[in-house]
Amino acid sequence: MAGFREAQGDLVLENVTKSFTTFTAVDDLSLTVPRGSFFALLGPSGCGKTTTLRMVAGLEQPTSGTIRIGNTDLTGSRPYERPVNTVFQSYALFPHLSVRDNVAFGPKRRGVKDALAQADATLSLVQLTHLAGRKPTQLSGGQQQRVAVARALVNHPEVLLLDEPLGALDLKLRREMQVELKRIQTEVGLTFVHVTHDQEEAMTMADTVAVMNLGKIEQMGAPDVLYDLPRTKFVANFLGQSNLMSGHVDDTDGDNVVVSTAQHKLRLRKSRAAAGSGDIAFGVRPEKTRIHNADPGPAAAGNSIGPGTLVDVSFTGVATQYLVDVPEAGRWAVYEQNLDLERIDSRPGDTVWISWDPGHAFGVRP
Amino acid sequence: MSTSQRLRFWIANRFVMIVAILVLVYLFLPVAYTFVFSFNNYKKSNIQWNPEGSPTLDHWKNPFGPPGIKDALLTSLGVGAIATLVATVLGTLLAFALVRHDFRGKGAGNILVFVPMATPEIVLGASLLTIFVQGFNQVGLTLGFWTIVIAHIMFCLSFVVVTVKARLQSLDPRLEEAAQDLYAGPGGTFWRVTFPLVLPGIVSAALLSFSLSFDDFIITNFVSGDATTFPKFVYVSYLRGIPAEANVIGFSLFVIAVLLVIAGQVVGSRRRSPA
Ligand SMILES: Nc1ncnc2c1ncn2[C@@H]1O[C@H](COP(=O)(O)OP(=O)(O)O)[C@@H](O)[C@H]1O
Ligand SMILES: [Mg+2]
Repeated sequence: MAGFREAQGDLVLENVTKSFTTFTAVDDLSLTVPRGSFFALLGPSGCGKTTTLRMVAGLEQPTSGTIRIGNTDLTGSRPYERPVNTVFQSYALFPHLSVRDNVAFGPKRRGVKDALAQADATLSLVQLTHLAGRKPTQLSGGQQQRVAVARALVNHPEVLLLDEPLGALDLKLRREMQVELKRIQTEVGLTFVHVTHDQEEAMTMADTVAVMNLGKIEQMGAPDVLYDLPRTKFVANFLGQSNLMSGHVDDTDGDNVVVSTAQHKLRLRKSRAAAGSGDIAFGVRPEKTRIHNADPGPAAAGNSIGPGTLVDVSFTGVATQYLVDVPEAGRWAVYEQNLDLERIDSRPGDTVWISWDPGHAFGVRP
Repeated sequence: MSTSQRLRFWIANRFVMIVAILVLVYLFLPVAYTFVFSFNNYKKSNIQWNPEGSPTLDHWKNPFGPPGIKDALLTSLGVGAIATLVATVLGTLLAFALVRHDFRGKGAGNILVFVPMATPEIVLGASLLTIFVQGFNQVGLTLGFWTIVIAHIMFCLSFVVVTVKARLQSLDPRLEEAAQDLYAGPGGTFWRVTFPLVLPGIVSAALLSFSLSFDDFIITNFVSGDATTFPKFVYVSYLRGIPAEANVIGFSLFVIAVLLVIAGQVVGSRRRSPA
């Protein structure tokens, strides 16, 4: 096909910016998606995820910057010239074509000889063989979603883009499809770029998660690394929950820096602090903290705060969540697994202290 | 319960049904009249039912008997076919331009398209006549078949543009993007996705054009000169008495139209049901 660009390798976006008349949707974004990986682009609605995907697909041209696959520059080429396929947010199945013809659409346009046979093979991969003759409107949401995946997958693109493909499904089906998509990706070994605003979905499915906010990548990495050590306030709050309190680095103590907050002097590993001096936001995940009825004493100095007032206790079965108002530190959440035989007998109004393992604290830019 | 009470309940329970039937009767009365009087063995004019020799199949056996009726029908069909073809093609192109392209005067274009629809036919007819007489006579054209065609194309165009535009605007732009994403170039995208999805709108526009053209009397009467269309034939012969063959042709056209509508419905529902 004229103009078609064969390309192999990692997907690379370099300093990509997309400005609409009055608004910059994607702002100097750079990222690399390793070939064959499951990559999740995670961010709140309106942060520029769809715009980013559309630029990779060629449906939108960047205002500046380049998009490459391997060594092939795709910037400026048309959507039909790129070895990239998209699963659209709204599926965008062709209503006048049967499921089989929808899936065979791509192979036919590329002049593949056994287009229908390939379509059938892909339909069986997504377990829809029995519905091949139906029209898209006669399918449930979950089935339409599978057709959309099959229609893109059948082309064996170098990069498959999925724009919130599970957003319209109910929770149970969504969990099923997460497993299913992950299985398909492992089976076909293609690069998947999966856009979502659901942090749990991103973390369970992806090898690499990029957290996006206001048109920029805030942080990128393996889900567990990202969760364990967020580098910005936004990531600390968007990916899971965090207790954060502002402070100031004014000293070092061996491998640690000392963070002074209004009431406390806290210790933080140097490697886990976003800044070696100046203002910092000190954070700990709720499930990494413990609650005490008495001051934990000098042993926990630097790894605890208190006294505070317990304002709420909610028992959730596997865990109990405590909400504590600590003067000058705000409201902290403590999430304790119910492992102790002897339950901590605390009621709202009690005076409590909170402590944590020193290795679990992190410091992000304020 | 008394009888009068029962009667009142009976009527109350069936009120909507009764009204519906009366409305249908009202709607179909002219058609029924046309049908019945196509069997009338009338003497001078087909206005009074003549019990002697009625009903008769004479008019059905030779519907093209009366002089001029066949030519009038052929003229109407010819004008309708050409006007529909041209108006559908031009109107579809215009609709695409108005929906898909940005150009100066697009807003004005969108409004101006409605002008012929909003103008009273009698005014359109009079002004067209003036234009034809003033302009066309000077280049040697006379009123007749082609002036009717030109006039019909003009008023059909608006309806085509409006119908196709509505269909095009309801088309999800993601579908065309999906086609491009699936390796269809501009031509492939248009013929494989856009056109098939807009086609039902184009077909309705064509059917509407044809029926508007076939039906038209007022404008046609102004611009037709010596040419005679079927409606004009019926109107003119009214002075002498409309032949029952006009009833035969009129009713047959009605039946064809109804069959077309039913066929359209069947095809439409087939498309939606499992293949
Ligand atoms: N064609 C456009 N013209 C103007 N603004 C746009 C256009 N497309 C998207 N935007 C804006 O860009 C921002 C990012 O949009 P989008 O990429 O769709 O976000 P997301 O997919 O993350 O929800 C939004 O604020 C949106 O309003
Ligand atoms: Mg989006």
